[in-house]
Amino acid sequence: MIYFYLTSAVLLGWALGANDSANCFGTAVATHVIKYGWAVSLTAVLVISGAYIEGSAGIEKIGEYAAINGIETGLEAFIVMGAAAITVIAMTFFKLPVSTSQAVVGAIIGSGLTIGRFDIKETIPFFGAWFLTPLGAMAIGYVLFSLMSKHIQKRINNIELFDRFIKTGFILSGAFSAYALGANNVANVSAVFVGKIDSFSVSQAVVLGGVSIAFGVLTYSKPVMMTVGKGIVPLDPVSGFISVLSAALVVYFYAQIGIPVSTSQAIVGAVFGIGLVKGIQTVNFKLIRNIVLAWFGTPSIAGLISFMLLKIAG
Amino acid sequence: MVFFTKHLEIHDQILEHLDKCILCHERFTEYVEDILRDGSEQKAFVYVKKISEIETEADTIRRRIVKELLKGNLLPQTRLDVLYLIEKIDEIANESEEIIREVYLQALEIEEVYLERIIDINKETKVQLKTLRLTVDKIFSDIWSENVKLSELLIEVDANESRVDVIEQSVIKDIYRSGLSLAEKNQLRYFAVKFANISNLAEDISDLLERIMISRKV
Repeated sequence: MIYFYLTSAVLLGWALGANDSANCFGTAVATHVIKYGWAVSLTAVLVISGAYIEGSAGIEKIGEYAAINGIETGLEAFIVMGAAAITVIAMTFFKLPVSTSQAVVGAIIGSGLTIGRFDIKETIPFFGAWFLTPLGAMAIGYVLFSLMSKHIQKRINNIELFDRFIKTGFILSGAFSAYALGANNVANVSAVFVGKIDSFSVSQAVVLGGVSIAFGVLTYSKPVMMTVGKGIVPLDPVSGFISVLSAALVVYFYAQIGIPVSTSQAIVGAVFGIGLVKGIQTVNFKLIRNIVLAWFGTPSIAGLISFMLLKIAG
Repeated sequence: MVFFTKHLEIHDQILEHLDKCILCHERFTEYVEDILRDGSEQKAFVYVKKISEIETEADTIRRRIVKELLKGNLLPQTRLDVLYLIEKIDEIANESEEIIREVYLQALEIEEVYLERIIDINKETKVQLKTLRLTVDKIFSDIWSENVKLSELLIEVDANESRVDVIEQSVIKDIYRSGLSLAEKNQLRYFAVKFANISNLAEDISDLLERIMISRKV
């Protein structure tokens, strides 16, 4: 039964890996800087490393948050994670903007409301992080791109050397982004189960979460990577790697605090920041609208599904 | 880590290719003048062979560059730009070879009054190619610190082409106002256009360099 409960975590991890790995190397693959095979292999290894080395803070935080909101048994954790997984997969299927972190928190809120133990005070830091993630990435993207265009580029006068700089930048920022994704988002996958299933520890949660995400990366990330890689950042190579780096810095920062955030929203924020340096006409406002829709849509749907499933389960 | 690899290949190889094509043009101008003044068919045959050899050498360098591009060390856009660039540069050698071959095959004879101006076209093109070489060198090695200088060089290449245009048009105008037969007029016109075309190719290359410069500005 224990293993059955964990299937919802594995499913969510798989969906997360399939969707979010595009944010690490999507632009690099789409622009032929790195081959798809290399990109997914590197992402898988670094996601597991990030989860294993620095994922425990998020696991503990989400685990505690779930407990505060009344999730105390394996079945409840299974339902909450199932609701989050259904939300992510369904919204991805219908091509709606979605965030795994927001789906998980939304599902926990839904269960908290059903059980009658929803804690708004403990929820505020998560809401704050959702808003601050794209804003932080925007600020970092703005600063890094300004530095790049005003100071760094002038120092790399050789075209070939500049290309090597960009390629190295793409690979390093993609690798860092994959590591940050593992460290930050592993909590979304398995944290809810810690302490609710016998002997399921934090260290087991980071391994299960990391491997599930890596499984999604290795098996189903190609279509998303090709679409998202070209869609989110239809930019020049410099903007591409700076947006990935800016987003990764924010995601990594939140991994230290233990709050899972959306890498997609961080990237969009970074692209917006770069757009501000280049001129407002380059900014794609549709992507900003998508973030706002995801902020409200994802937790609401996940919360509703979780609420209904818990009611059905009695 | 690719960024820290010391040896830079493409810049040197592009210049090597360009130098070979410029050499091809220089020899071509010397030989054409000699053929048209001397009129020796035997000499012309030898010259065609020599130019053809230089053109083949340029081609070999071009193929080597393509091989280098296939290694994938550069960004895809740069690879594409370099590919277009060497193809265009190669056309200088191809055109030189084609003209001298036609001069030989058609046993071209040009009156001194036209020949002087054809030689002027070649001289102007020679100057233009030197400027172009400097531009290519700076684009690949000093793109940002020499930004203003580069723009000036690109303008200079265009100015050379305009001067060649003026000479070409004056030659054609005089040809059609001369007492030559229509066949001779058409033949001379064909060659005047061909000689001036090398300058057009150099201008196309400068346009391409301008695009490379603009597209790389962050």
